This record gives sequence, C-alpha cells and structure tokens, in this order.
Amino acid sequence: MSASPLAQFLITRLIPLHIGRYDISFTNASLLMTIIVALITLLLVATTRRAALVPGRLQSVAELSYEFVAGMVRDTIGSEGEQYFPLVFSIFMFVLFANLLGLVPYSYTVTSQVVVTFALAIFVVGLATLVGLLRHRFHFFSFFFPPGAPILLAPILIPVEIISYLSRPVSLSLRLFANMMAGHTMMAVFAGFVVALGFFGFLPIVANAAMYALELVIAVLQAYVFAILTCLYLYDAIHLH
Amino acid sequence: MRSSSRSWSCSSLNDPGEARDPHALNAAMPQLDVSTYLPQLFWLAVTFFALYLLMKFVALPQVGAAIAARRGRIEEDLAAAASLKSEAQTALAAYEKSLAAARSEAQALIREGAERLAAEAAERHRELAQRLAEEAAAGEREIAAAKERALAEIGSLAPDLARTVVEKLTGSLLSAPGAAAE
Amino acid sequence: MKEERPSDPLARLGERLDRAERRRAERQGKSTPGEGLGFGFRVGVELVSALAVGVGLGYLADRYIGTRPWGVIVGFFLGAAAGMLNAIRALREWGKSSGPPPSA
Repeated sequence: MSASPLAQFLITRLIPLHIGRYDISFTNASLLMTIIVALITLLLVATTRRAALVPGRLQSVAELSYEFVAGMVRDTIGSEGEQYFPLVFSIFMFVLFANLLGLVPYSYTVTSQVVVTFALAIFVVGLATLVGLLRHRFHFFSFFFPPGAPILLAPILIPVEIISYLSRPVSLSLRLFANMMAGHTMMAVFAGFVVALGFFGFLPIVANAAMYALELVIAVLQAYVFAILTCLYLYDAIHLH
Repeated sequence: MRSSSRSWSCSSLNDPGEARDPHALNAAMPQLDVSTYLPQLFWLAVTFFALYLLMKFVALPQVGAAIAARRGRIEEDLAAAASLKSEAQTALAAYEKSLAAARSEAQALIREGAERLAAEAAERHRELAQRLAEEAAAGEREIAAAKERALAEIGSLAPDLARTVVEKLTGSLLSAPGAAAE
Repeated sequence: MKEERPSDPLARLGERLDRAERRRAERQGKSTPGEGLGFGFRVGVELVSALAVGVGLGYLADRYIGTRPWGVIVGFFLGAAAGMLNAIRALREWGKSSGPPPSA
C-alpha cells in the first residue's frame, strides 16, 4: 500500500467500461458495493430461508436488524411510515455494511467518498421532497414559513428556512463522509508511525487498537444517524412541521 | 451539483494499467478526483437499486414472516402455559377439596368408632358388674343356707356330744336314756 | 405447611409467566435507544453546512446576477441563521426522540 494516508481512498478501475463517452468502469468501489449488496442479501435470505424457532446467531442478527429498523420507522414516522420501511432498511444496511466493511484490512470504504454520501443524501432529501409535494401539493411550501410567525419577518424567515432545507443533504452527506474519512485517515497516519518509531512502534499499534474499537462504534452510529434522519425528513414531508 | 455534471462525461480516463503519477495522487484528496465520480455514481445507483428490490421483494418479507411466526408461536406458548397453569390450579383445588372431604370422613369414622367402642365397653362393664352382683348374691344365699343347715345339725348333735363328754369324765358307761330305754 | 407445598411451584410458574408476558409487551411497545456520542459533532455539521449553503447561494447570486459583494454577505448571515435554526431543531429532536438516557 502506498505511504500516503489518503491513498486508501483511491479509486482504481478493475474493469474499464464505457458507454459512449461515459465511463462506467467497474472499480474497487463498485466491487465493494456489490459485495455489500451480496452480503446483506445473503445474511437476510440465507438465515431465514428455513427459519428456526430458536434462531441461530446469524438469524438473530438478521431479525435484530429488521426489528431495529422497523422500530425506528414506527417510532419516528408513525404508522404511515410502513411503506418506507424497505427503503429506510436498504439505506441503513447499505451504509452500515459500507462503513463496517471499510474496517476490514485491505478493503475499501465506499462511504468515504463524498460523491457517494452526497448522492445518497440528495436521493433521500429529494425523495422526501417529492413525497411532500405529492401529498400536500402547493401546500407543501408552507413548510418554509412557520405558522404563527409574524408576516413581517417573512423576508428573513423564508430564505433562512429555504437555506436550512437545502443544507439537509449537505449536512447529511458531510457528516457521514467526514466521520468515515477522518477515522480511516487517522488510523493510516498512526499505522505510518509504527514503522517510523522503530522500537516504540507498539505505541501507535495500541492507539490503533483503541481507534479501531471507536471506529466500529462510529460506523454503526453513523449508519443509525443516516437512517434516522431519513425517517425524520420523511416525517417532515408527511406531516409538515 | 449541476456544475460538476459536465465533468462526469470525462473521456480521457486512465486505465488501471496506465501508471498514474503517484506524487500527484498523494498530494490531492482522491475524493476530489472528478473523473471517478461517474463510475461511482453509476455503480451506486445500480447496486442500491438492486439492494432495494432484493430487500423489498425477497429478504424483508421472509424475515418478517420468520419473526411473525415466532411471535405467534410465543403467544401460543404463553397462552398454552397460562391455560395449563389454570388447569393445574383447578386440579389442585379439586385435590385439596377431596383431601379435606376424606379427612373429615376419616374423622367422622374415628369419632363413630370411638363412640361405639366406648358404648361397648360401658355395656360390657355393666354386664360384668351385673354378673358379679348376681354371683355375689348367689354366694351369699348359699352361705346363708349352709349356716342354717349347720345350725340345724348342731341341734341334733348336742345330746350325743354331752353323753360322750360325761362318759369320758366318769369313766363309766352311762346308759343313754335312749339306750337304757332300749 | 403441607398444603402450601404443591401450590408453591405453581405460584412461581405464574410469576414467570407474568414476567415473560410483560417483557414481551415492553419489547413490542419500545424502541430504539438513542446514542449521545456523535451528537455534538452533528450540531457542528448542521451549523457548517447551512453556512456553506448560504454562502454558496450568495456566491452564485454574485456570479450570475451580479450582486457582488452583497450576495455572499447576506448569504453568510442567512446561512448562519439557518445553521442556528438547524442546531436548535436538532437539539429539540434529540430531546424528543431519545427522552431521558436509559441509565439516568
């Protein structure tokens, strides 16, 4: 591996592919995304195909993730959230597995690419906006002016609310991306110290072990945050405030 | 977003075999390499859509069914356990009732037996006392008869006795008035 | 004493049944424990991203409508206000969704 702590974020084209002028090469990121989808599907389908009454370890994990997200959707959106459960579940599992697989040595972190997190965030916020528009039609725009506020403040409040709304995909993607990138970069930097410090090289190893545990927590937490914010945005779109 | 979309259609891409300048790569953040955006986004869309379809139509219904089956089974088991418990309680109550009944019956039997025995004993005691009294009375009667007979015999023996005494004293035979008269 | 004996395990079974029932009901009613770890970071990101959007919009206005330099200036203040709003909302959601921490 390269010496730079940022080299781990490099995209390498494994199978160059083009459609017309457009590059759709199968990269290491694509490979990881495929593995993510395959692993999630395998975990859920294979363990519950012949579901045991007393679940094994993997079946428990599958059912736990199901119930966790189902509870999150139910608590956050309410009964109308049922129809968005598959979507929220897919988002949660995708981000979770992307974050966790990134911690496997020599693998790659899909969510450390700002394009990926931004695309996911734009997708989520765009979808929530679409849901709100379809549900409330023109009334949706009352979202940008809180009811009961003095009309005089409208010239300030409305731009502020619009900026606040537009900042949703930015903050959503930035949070995930920054968390993933920062942790991985730190670990790579510490790993670089191992060789440099010679005899005292065990110190960064200890630090990295602690970092690794923290990174595991962060990986799960960020997936949770991403999913629950998806739920909140959908809730806003359905209920308008 | 829109401004960068123009650069996604980048046609001058390096193939993996084509060596890139490592120093240039190390200097910049790989995340800002716009030429990698399109392939990433394309595969993100493809894989995420596939994941969504797989989850929605295959995985989630299956997991949900497994959970629902278990939940139903647990509810059933709990209900069965509750009904078994109430059954056991009624059985226990019945058992206790029959036990109490048996105990009271036994006590009645014991009381009855004791009373009967006591009555029998009293009866026997009374009989014995009567018989003893009868025997005592008979004995007394016999004694009285014997005494009378003895007294009567003494009366007839008295003259003979007196003669015998005189003969011994006088040394001569007195002829008994009865004998003299003979 | 002897009469207590057979009902004792039954009573214990009843207790255990009740407990299992309650646990099941609890699990069905509730829910996801919130995590406090990344929350401060979350508020920071909310502030920064709203500010960035405000400044970005101002910059675009400056560039394409020609309001230079007012677009960026106004955008900065509006973005800061939106960031505050986001942070306050995040705090409120936090209090609402997680309730009191489970340990306290």
